[in-house]
Amino acid sequence: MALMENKKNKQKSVLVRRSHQRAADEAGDPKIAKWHAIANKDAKADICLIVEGCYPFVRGGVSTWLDWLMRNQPDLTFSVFAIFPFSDFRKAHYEVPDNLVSFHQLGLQDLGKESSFGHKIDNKSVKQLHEEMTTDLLNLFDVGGLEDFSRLNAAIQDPASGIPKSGFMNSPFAWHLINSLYERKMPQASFLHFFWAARVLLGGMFAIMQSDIPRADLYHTISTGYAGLLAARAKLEMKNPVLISEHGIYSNERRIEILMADWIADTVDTGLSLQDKRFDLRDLWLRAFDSYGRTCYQACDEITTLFEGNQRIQEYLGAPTDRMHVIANGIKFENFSSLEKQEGHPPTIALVGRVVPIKDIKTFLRAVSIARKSIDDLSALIMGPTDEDEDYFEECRLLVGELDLESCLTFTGNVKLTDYFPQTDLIVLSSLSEAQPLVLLEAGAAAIPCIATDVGSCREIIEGRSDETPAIGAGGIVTGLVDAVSIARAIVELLTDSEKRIALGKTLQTRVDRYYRSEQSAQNYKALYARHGITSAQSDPIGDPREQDR
Amino acid sequence: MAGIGFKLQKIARQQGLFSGFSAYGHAAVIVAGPWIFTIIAVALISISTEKRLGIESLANFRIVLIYAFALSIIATAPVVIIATRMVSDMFHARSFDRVSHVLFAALFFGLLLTGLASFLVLVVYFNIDRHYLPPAIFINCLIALIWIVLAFSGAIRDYAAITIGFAVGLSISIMLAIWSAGRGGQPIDLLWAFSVGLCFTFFWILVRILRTFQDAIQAPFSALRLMLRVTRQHWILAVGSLISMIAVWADKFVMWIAPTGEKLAVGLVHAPIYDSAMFLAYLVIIPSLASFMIHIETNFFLRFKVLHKAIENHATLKQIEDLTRQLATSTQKGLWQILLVQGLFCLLAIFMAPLIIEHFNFQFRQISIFRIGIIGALFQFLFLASSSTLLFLNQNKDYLKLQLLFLFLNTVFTVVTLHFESIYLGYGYLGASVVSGLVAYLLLENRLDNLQFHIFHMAATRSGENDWMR
Repeated sequence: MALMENKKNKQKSVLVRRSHQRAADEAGDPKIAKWHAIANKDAKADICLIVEGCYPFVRGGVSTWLDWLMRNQPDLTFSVFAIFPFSDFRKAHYEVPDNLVSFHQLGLQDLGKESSFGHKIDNKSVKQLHEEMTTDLLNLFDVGGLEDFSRLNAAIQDPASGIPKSGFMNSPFAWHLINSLYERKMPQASFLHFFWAARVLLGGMFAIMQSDIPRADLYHTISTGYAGLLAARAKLEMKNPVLISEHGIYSNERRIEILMADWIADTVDTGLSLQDKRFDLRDLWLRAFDSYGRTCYQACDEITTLFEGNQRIQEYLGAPTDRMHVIANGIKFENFSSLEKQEGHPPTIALVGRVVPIKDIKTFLRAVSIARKSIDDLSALIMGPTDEDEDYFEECRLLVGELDLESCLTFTGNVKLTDYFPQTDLIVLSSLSEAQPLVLLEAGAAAIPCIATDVGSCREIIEGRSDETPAIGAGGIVTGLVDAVSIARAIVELLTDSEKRIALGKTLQTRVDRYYRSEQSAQNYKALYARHGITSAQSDPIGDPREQDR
Repeated sequence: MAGIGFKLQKIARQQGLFSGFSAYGHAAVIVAGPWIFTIIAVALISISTEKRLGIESLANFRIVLIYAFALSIIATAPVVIIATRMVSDMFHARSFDRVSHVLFAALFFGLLLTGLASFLVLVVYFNIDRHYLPPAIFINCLIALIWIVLAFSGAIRDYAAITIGFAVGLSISIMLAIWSAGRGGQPIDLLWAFSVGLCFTFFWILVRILRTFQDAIQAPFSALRLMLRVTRQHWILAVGSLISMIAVWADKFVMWIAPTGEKLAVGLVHAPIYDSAMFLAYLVIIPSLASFMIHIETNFFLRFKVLHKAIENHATLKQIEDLTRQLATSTQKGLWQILLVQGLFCLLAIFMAPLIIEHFNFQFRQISIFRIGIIGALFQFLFLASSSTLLFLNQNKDYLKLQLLFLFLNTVFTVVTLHFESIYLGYGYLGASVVSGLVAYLLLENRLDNLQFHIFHMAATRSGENDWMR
């Protein structure tokens, strides 16, 4: 096993080397040079955005949103604190916004060299520090939060404690800390695995505690986790307001990842006993991220997310309800509302999304097959890239053949929605999981009603938020998950009743116009910042959060 | 995850725990062992040819050999230790195709360094009799090559090759030397005769290695570059090994350069009264070195494997602690047992010193030096065994520090003894050995006490050590 791991490391270091090579190749690139120019610059910003594992080196929804956020608050200045496993400077996928004044990067696993701190563990002050930190860590991982974190952080920041700035995790002190946690928490588990897990979890946390916080009047994190811990530190040390805006719920996604991880060894054989309450490595990982989450929520002055459904999870994870608000993402309404509907096409439905299992394309295909029994000339489109999971795509194609749908179903690949929306009567979403699917908003802006499964914010978009006043009404139909029959029934109902279909489309368009405009979203963030004392003269919101990603 | 966060697995990587602990414990002994061969060879030649050649003439022959052994072992020390490390890493990774590359590179660099050292010392510093220069340089380089193949042979545990190579090679040397001396050969002829036997030793061991690793060397320059890269990475190891060899000779060097030294016709200096008594004293600890090697092979290494397996197979901390304690105890016990037997053996040798001295035709005043040398050698064994074990535990920095300590003490103490009467000759070496030996042992004990920490600590901080193999 050691050998195998070694090989993995070697592959990793090859990758790192390659990325360095790439960075060197692109050193002449003015886009890259701009990033280097603001790297580690000591410039005070209005707002410090704390991001983990995305902007600016990884493309994706959140990264694009961050770019949009900064560009749409042009009168405010920003700094970005980006957290990655290792702090090698890679190729940024985004251009530096004009109001981004500094960029800081932290590698969680850059644990420094070696340190002899705690060499004499029996020394009175060292022993006391060791015992206090052990207790605080145990409390934190148990059900603790900001208070325990605050004590740990104070010990780390205290110059009198003697904790070295670099190499702390490689010191005898940290080794004793890991040993004590192990003895107190899970003396029956594989020590090898515990050691690595604790090194990662504590190493990341201490790396956060030992980093320099950029100067800013307000700190805005986009997730809990390590980013959330830095936000908590900002609250404790800088005494400035701290906000969190979650897209996906970090702790929840970590939970799924940890439960599915085959690299975490189950060392407690619980057999068939459900009563076995022994603590295992998975619990350690889960508890750690849950505690990081609680710490962050408790530190935040305001907690926002994209839709109400997420709020229930945040609340469960320890977020105080009185600080929670929804700020939805928006779209550029005019891009879709101005589309002219075309007549003279067969009844057409479309699913917009990548062909991957989480979109449950197969249920959609079955629904099409059922609906076609009622509507002979039905045309169904699947608009989205098919190359992400080629095995799944192949399975879907086989199913198309089995259900005899070749004549009516088309995989269009990645296309421009505005080219297809004029001939589309209905948008269907059969996903197993979503956050806030922008395609429903885009369809709504084009007055196309939607049928969607009850995941993420789909119900909120189609039926309206619980506090929507006046209630506008339904803009489509919400169905159950993996329920081809219900989806087919809804398709038939709306395609055969054109009056209802048009009415629902209009309703959805009204809702999107009222609540889901990009300008509105930018305005909401502006107001959010203003509530915490960060104001600017006049901002001019522009653009769609997804615009740059297209 | 949807756009945020990185995969946990990316940071939760586990490193190979024992990548740095490759099995070069026995190799460390092989590295430490050669000076024993130095003495055996010199002693055998001295005894067998003294009567025919006369002491004066023989001294020239012997001093060239001594210098050759000393110079080559010092010059090749970094190359040998780096090559040993590379080969043992390769064995650990079960990758054997580039062993012949490493051998080639080691021979190349070993030859280069020895050639350079020989030139500087023999030509630039001593400017020796130019008739002696060709055989002297030839033997220097030849012995350098032998040190290197010896390390490879040790790494594949082909002790039979070493034994046969040396037994037959030295026999040839001795026989040819005697034959040459009998036919009126001069010291220079003796040197050439001697080198024939060494050629046999070298080629015998080389052939045995090449028969094991038959891969052709396609890219010689990349083999050289690879070795330079590993040397850069493991410079502490290379310097530590170099220092260790200089340290062993430090007291001799001081004696040679000081007024105690005598210049021979060939142009080299020596301190015959000191040298011969000390060389003889070294021989007394051969049994200890042999039993220490056996201890490493049979006890220490096996226990280490058990510990390794247990950790990999999800042992709890308590189980790991038990196993490391057992390992520590058995190492300490093993060392003490060897020391005890060796102590008795030394005591016997001390009592019999006058007899031994007389048998070897030494001077009476050498009895004291011989006795002091025996006690010093006993502690030097402790130093050697402890620091080699630390090397096995991959504590390269400790190893370097200890060698620096021994070098410093052995030099300074010996210089100090020069200011006293000649009866105190050898006390410098004794003092240096005692202090260094005890410090090394205490350090080893400390490292063994915290063995769990060092194992995990090193896995975490020094995982990249084997990257060169990629």
